Amino acid sequence: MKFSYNWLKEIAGFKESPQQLAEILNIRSFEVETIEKVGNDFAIDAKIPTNRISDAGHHMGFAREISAVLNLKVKNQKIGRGGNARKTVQKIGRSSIKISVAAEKLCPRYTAQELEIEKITPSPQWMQERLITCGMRPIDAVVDITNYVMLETGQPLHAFDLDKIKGGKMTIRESKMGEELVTLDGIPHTLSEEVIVIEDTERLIDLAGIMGGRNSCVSPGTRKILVQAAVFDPAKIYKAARALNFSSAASKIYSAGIDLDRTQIGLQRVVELFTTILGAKRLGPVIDISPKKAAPTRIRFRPEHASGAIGQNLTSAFYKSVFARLGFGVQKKGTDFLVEIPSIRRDIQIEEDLIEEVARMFGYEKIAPKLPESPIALPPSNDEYFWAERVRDTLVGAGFTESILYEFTGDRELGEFRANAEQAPRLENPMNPETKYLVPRVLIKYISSVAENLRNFDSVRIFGIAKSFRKEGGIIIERKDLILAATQKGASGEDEFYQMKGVIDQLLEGIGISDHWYDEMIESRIKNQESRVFHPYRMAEIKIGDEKIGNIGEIHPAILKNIKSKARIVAAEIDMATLAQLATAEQEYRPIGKYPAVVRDIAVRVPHDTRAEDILNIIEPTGGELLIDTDLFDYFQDEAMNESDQKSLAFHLIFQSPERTLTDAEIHKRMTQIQEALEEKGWTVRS
Amino acid sequence: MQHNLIKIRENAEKEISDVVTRDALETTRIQYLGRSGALTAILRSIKELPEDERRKVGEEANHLRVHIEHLLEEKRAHLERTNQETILQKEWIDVTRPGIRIGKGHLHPITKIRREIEAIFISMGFGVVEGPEVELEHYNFDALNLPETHPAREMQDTWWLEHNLKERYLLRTQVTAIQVRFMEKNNPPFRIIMPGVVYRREATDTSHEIQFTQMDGLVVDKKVSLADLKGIMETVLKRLFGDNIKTRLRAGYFPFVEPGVEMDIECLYCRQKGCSLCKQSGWIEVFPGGIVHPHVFKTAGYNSKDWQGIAWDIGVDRIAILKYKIPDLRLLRSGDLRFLRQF
Repeated sequence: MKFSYNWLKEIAGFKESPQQLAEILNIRSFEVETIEKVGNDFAIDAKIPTNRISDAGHHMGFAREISAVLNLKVKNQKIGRGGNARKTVQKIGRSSIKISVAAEKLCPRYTAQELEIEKITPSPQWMQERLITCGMRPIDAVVDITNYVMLETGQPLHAFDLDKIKGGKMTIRESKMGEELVTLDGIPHTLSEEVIVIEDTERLIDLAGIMGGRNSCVSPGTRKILVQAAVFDPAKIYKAARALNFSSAASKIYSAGIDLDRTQIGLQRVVELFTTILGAKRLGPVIDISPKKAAPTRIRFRPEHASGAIGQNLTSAFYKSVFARLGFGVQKKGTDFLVEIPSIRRDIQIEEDLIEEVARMFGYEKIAPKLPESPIALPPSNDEYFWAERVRDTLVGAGFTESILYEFTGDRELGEFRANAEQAPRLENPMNPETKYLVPRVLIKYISSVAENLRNFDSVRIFGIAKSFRKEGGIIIERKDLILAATQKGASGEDEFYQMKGVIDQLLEGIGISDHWYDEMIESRIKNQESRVFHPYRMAEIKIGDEKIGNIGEIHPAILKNIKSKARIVAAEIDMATLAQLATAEQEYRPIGKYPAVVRDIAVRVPHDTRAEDILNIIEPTGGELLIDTDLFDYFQDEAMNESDQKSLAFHLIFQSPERTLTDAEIHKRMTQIQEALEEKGWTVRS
Repeated sequence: MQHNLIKIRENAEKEISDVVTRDALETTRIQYLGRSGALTAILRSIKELPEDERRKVGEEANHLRVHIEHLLEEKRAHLERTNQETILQKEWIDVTRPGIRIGKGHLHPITKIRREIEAIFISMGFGVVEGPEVELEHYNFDALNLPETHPAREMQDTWWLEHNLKERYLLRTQVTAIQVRFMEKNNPPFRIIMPGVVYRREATDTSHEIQFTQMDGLVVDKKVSLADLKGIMETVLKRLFGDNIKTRLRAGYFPFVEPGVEMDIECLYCRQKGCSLCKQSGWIEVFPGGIVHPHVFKTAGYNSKDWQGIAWDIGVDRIAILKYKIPDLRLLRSGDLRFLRQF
């Protein structure tokens, strides 16, 4: 909101320069965003918060705020105090127009005055200059005077051409669905319900508080004017302005709400200016439809409580002086105060609001900082958060870089990943096709990112902990996923898969999970929805017991083609909540073997489609308790083997007893048994 | 005889001094001290000398033996040293060649800053609490004293979810939405921080994003005040930006706190001279906060008479771009490794 520095100075009578003023207001009141020189004035653009628009969103009020902050008396109080319009205005004739309000809440106060003018001239130079400083374009005296008085008093005003109002009657009511009106900017509107409108006996003539109708507006030939100063329901104006995507100084003031006493101040001032500038004559009495005067707001203020909240011992005398500066009435009630709030201060409704007033008048810069004194209590632990941090550190150590990505997606991306859009939560107000949905499976964002990074790098390893969103039965399921994705240009994908698997093994072991396994899901891999992202013969579910915690696999070649990836990509997704549940920090010492371990090697030649696990499933039970560990150290296929569709796997077998040194004979016996068991399967063994 | 000894001394001294290998040294030793060595021969022949000469020559010959042994030992040690030196010299490596890295990854700058801030609060006894990103209108707005027709809602342009769901969902515009959720299930006193992702529906540019990270804080206790809030804010900012950072606390407006304040830090680029980053003001807003509004306590089922709360918010992304001097907020979520690998 822009204010004229000269105008404020004229009302408040301060000596501060625009910069000095801005500095003080920034701390005590609200932010001054810019100061701009306009002619020989300055435009002060201040960010008035919505709760202060009522009292400080105009020059009289802004000057009052400045006076309070600088501890000055408001110099020109004639308009600021106001409230005696009825007394000074002579009763003249009778109104030619009858106003009715459908419901008091819609328009709790309506005041207006009928005027006659000879012709519409431009407004005087001084007024035009002030309007320009405040960012408004001078048009003619009628428009300019109404705008000027709004800038001055915070009361929005509107001038109707009295001769265009049909039937001598105006009704203020809520709109019905589908009603139509062309506003004075020439734009036709079809209304929904709940917009406050004014109609005459034939048609709608005004969108109250928003914009006048073209059919009732003042034009160069206008001689009779009805100038209106009213109060409308702020919520209704706010909603209508939003629905119509319309915003003006008046609609902003109305949306924030104004007090009922202001209409007569505004009306008196506007009539005064119409009279002096346009020589207007009043045609009838002041029209005033107003409710019973409401009792003023009084709030109990406890100085001790306020000092506690501010954290500073302030005296009753200080509090009293602040309220006086702000123009609040103060009554002593024992040690407490009863503070009477002027109607213009709509932001002050509870004791805390008063505490804010005294705190800012005292000065936040003067509060002595300290730290809370409360006793130390252990905060609740947050396991999921703790483990997520552990996972991040482990993966960074393993060469993965953390990436944080947008959680939106669109039809194109979902299509590329052959994902089902049905489960993706749709946004009601997307900004573009890429923000149509929340991502149902955040894995795809990371895969896309890997493919993009391949333009600059040959090797990419990234991870992230991010959310996937799914729509299920009318609610949104939010899941925190750990995603890993890696690629190496020119690689076959196989090594990358085993590297990824190794990283996951290390990661899980590092957080106390060692009994996980990889399920090939031979039966379901083709049909499985989830696995559509992965290469059907290069993927596995990661499981602990029967519980699935995630997937690992190479991305399906069809998808790689869709996203134009320059290399194969291997990825894994793991449910963080389950991971955190299963993770454990507990560890227990196991005695270090006193007797030496003996290592023997064995190589097995098996058909190509035999799995390493199939071989170990024979070796391990046969080896018995003394076989404490096995280690696959060679996975090999030469041309001859390739032709016969065979491969060779070699293992270190580690034997150890906790009780004695093993003899050659004992180990030999075990090795023979293992060899025989393997040969029984028809495999060739070398040891 | 004595003449012989002098000769042996001269020869031995010269030969030992000329020797360059350990083998030659051994040969020299044998030549003088070996079974048939020159000095050995003299020592052996002493007993054949007359009584008076025997003692004198014997003494001198023994001295010479000790002398030669000493020279041999000295030379042996010297040769060993130089020999090892030669081997080591051959093993010279070029230390200026680049080191071999083990391929460590990088934490995201947001994570680094988030942890830095969290560590400060955790050391002050704060717990970490999270909440859903898809939030109910109630927790994000209404419970926070922002009813539907509150014009302040316009400050936070909102992403709404489709209508055909069981409830009216939105993408939370502030992690403050976690406040009432937490308070409904927990009793004071407590002190928590609430990190998380939030969303605003607005046009993006170098300082505006549709998705960013915030960290709110909340302390509810019998007695907490603006002075405590100011203390917390200053402590955090000093830890983050150094003890000399200048701060200012000023009036602010957020419907869920009353009084509402905001702490600024001096602009790190221009140090209060005024630049484009701080819009010529010299200050950058980083820390809004205030005393919890009674409406929020009421919605959460707390009695405002019994409890006081202070709350604040830190824009984690904003701190990250300030600390690392990142010119464009949008780089943070670009996923570009050319950016991420710098941290």
